[in-house]
Amino acid sequence: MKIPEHSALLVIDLQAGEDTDGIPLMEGSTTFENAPKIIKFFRDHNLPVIQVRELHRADMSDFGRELDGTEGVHCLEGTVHEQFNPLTAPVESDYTFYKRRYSAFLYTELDLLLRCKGITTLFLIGGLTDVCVRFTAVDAHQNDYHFKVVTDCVTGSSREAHEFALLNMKYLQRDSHVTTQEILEAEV
Amino acid sequence: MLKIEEHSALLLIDIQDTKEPDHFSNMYKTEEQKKRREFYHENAKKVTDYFRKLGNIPIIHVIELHRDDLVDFGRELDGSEGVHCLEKDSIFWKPCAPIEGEYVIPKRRYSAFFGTDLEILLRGLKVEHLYICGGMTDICVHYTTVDAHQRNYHVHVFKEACGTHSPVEVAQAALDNIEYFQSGSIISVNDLDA
Repeated sequence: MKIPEHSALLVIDLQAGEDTDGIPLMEGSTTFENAPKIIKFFRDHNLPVIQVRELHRADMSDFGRELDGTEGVHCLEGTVHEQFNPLTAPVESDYTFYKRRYSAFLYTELDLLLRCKGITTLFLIGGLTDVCVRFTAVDAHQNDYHFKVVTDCVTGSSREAHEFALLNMKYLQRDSHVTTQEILEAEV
Repeated sequence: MLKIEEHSALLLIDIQDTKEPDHFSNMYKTEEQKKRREFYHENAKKVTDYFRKLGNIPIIHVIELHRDDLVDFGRELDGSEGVHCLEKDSIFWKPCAPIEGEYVIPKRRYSAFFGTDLEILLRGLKVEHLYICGGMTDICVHYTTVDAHQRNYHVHVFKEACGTHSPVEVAQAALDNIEYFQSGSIISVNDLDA
């Protein structure tokens, strides 16, 4: 594989904390094993690394409908969960921003940043495959970006939901699945 | 029996047809797929008739339209779908087509919120609850519903009045995901009183 010109890595919601912070998670995730390698690859090749984290205000004023489903209170400001995970934490050359909703495009500066940097392909890692990763992919797609989801570096709410979300992303862009190994062996 | 909430609207997504007969056959290829399309259209008709009879709830029709020169497809041809919903060929499916007093929103993307004035309309109508029917369950219905959810609307999706050419388990996974983010949001046409 060749990394397309004008690519960037988007790291979605890899945040700190020992517990799962109100979010269901599938067994057997390899995200934290693979994410540091992929991030290092992008940094080593001077390709942009963009990190987004989900944050909610401590008074819970911005949850909207997010507590009407399966997820509990999560990513509160002032708790350990507001921080980037130490295993994948940003360095100075990374771009960072926060979001209040699932999609990293909704009410954020992401689209502006991508336009200013001339980025046309987004590599996606993080969680959840079936929620924030998928809906970020959908918005990338609808905003005319190419996206690549790293299938062994994303974690779903359940194995089944993870698999269906990957299938859904492939429906949108037939070449959108890549693996960690393919990236690490890719030409730049 | 279903209680329709105050401050509601009915949103019909892409319940559309082609002027040239059978142009949807490039998506709904098999007899089984065609039957599923008919089934959800008939159920969408039931829901539309029900809301029209209530009389006091806004009805919003969304239709996907692409320019005939294909300039606005973006990445939409990079996946499973072929060229679809060209302006010269697209019409509403007649039994549900808008009548006087109903609203029409054309869209170029999957989500009815993307690049449209849907939100301006919903704010003007003071809508808080969206009752949803249409196609396709796993794409335009799914993504419109999550966009409504992310904009703080309550969503209610009539499962039998949504359809897709995708496999049944893919449609179910989309409904499960909607239920994941809003519990109780998947509802049945059978809960409407006669």
